[in-house]
Amino acid sequence: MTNIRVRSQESGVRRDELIRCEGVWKIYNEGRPHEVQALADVSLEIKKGSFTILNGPSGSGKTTLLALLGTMDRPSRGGIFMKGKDITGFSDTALSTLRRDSIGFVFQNFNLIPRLSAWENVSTPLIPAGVSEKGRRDRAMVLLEKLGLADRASHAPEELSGGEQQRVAIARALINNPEIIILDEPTSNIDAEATDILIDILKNLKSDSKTLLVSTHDQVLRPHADTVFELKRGRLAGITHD
Amino acid sequence: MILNIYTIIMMFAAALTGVLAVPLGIMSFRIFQKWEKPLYAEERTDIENRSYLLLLTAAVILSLKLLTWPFFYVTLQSYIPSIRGAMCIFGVTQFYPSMSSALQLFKPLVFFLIGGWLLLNQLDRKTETSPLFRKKFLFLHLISFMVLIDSLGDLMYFTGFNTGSSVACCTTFFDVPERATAVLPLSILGEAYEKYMLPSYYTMNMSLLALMGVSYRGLQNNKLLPPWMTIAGAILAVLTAVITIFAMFEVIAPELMGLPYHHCIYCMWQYVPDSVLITALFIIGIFSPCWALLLNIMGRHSETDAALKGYIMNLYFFGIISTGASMLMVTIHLMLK
Repeated sequence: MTNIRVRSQESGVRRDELIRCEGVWKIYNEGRPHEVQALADVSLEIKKGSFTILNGPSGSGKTTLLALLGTMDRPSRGGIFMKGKDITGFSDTALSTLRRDSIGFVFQNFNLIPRLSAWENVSTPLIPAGVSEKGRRDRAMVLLEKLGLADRASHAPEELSGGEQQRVAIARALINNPEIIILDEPTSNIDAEATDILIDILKNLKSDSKTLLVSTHDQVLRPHADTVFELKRGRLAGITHD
Repeated sequence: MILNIYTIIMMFAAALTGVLAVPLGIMSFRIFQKWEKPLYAEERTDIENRSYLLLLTAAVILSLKLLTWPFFYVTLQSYIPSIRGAMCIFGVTQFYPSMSSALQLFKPLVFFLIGGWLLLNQLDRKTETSPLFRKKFLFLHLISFMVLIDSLGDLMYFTGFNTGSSVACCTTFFDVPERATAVLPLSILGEAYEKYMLPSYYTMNMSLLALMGVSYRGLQNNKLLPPWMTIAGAILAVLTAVITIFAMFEVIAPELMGLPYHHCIYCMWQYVPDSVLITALFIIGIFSPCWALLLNIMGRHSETDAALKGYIMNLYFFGIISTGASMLMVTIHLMLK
C-alpha cells in the first residue's frame, strides 16, 4: 500500500484520512469502584478505501475500539476524528445520524431480528429514512441477490446457516450505502467454506472503495488487509502495513 | 360536578398531565444541574439515555395540552344546557368567573411555551454537540410548573361545577355600552370609534404581514436577523392581537353573526363555525413572530446559525400564511354580508 499522504490545503486534514484516533482511552466505571481500563492511549489512522484489521487476543480491547470507531460508544479521554472532524463531543443524536448514514456494522453474533425474514432484516435501516415498503424490499433484494441469497429472502434467520446469516447481516450493513463497514470477529461463527465466501465479499467491497475495518484474532483475513493494528492489553502494540 | 363524556376526557387529560408533570419537572432540573459539571463519558451517555424517556414524557404531556386547549371550550359548550341562564360558552364561564378567566389566559401562555420548547428541542437536535441541551431542560422544568398549575386548575374548575346556580350570559356583559372593548376605544377615538375599528384591524394585520414579509426576504438574502427585528415583529404581533380582539368584539363578531348589537365572540364561534378556524389561524399567525423571537434569543449558537435561520424563516412564512388566511376569511365574510 502506498504511504504517500497528501494534506488538504484548506483543512489540514490528509485527503486519504477517514478516521483518526488521538490518545484514546476507554475506562469503564470511571470514577466508581471496579474501574476497568479497556483501552490506553491508542492513536491510529484509517485511510479511505483501506482494509484494516484490529488484531489481538481476547480481552485486548478490539471490540471496545471497534465500538468507539463505530460511534456506538464514547472514549473516556482523547479524540476521535472522522474526516478531520472531532466527533468526541457529538451528541447521541448526531452520532446516531452519523452511524446511520456512514457506518455499516456486522456484529459477531449477527444480531438479526428472529421474527423478521431475511429481506425484512436487511431493510430495517431504511425504515427511519422513511423509504416505502416496496422501495425497501427492492433495495434489499438487489443486495441479497448480489450476495447470493435471493432464494432465501423470505426465510427467517433460524432457517439460514451461519454463513447465510452473516451475509444477511452484511447486506443490512450495506443497505444505506455507508462509507465504512465494520465487522466484529466475522470468522468466529462460520465454517471454512463460508469464510472463503466472506473473503470474496470483502474483496468486492474494497474494490467498490468501501473502507473495511475488521476486528479478528484469526489470521485468515490478514493476507488481504492493507494495515494490521496489533492490540495487547488495551494498548497498541504494533502496526503492519502491507 | 357536571358529569358527561367531555368532563371525563378533560379530567383524565388534566390528571394524566398533572401526574406526569411532577417527575418531568424534577428530572429535567436534575439533568439541567448535572449537565453543567464536566462529565465522564459514561455519565454523559447515561444522561442522554435518560433524556429520551423524559423527552417522550414531555411530548405526551405537551401533545395533550395542545389538544385540550380547544377541548376546554368544547367541554364548556357541553355545559350550556345544564347551567341556568347560560346561552353560550361565556355564560358557562360566569359560573367561576375569576377561575375561568385565569385558565383562559393561562392556556394560550402554556400553548405558546410548549410550542417554543418543541421548536427549541428540534433546533437542538439539528446540531452536532447539542449546545442547547442545558437550556432546553431548564425551559422544560419551567414549563412543567406551568403544566402542573394548568392541570390542577382544570381539575379544580371542572369538579366545582353544579347545576344549582344560575348565571348571567353575554348579553348582560357585551351588549351594554360600558363593555370594556367599547369603553377604551370610545375614550381614545370618540363617539365614532366603531368606524375606525375595521381600518385599524386591517392596518395592524397588514403591517404585521409586511414586517414578517420583509423579515422573510431579509433572511432569504442575508444571514440571521438582528435581534431588534424579531423584537419588533413580536411587539407588533402583540399590538395586532390587542387591536384584533377589540375589532372582533366590536365590529367583526356582530357583522359575522348578523346581529349588529351582539358583541360576543363565544356566540360567534357557535353561530359561525368557521370563525373557530379564523381564530385558530389568527392565534398561530400572532404566535409565529413571538416564537421567532424566542428562538432568536434562546437558540443562538455558532452551531445553530444555519438551522436557526431556516426555522425563523419557516415561522415567518407560517405566520404570513396564517395571518393572511385569517384576514382573508374575515374579509370574505364581511363582503358576503
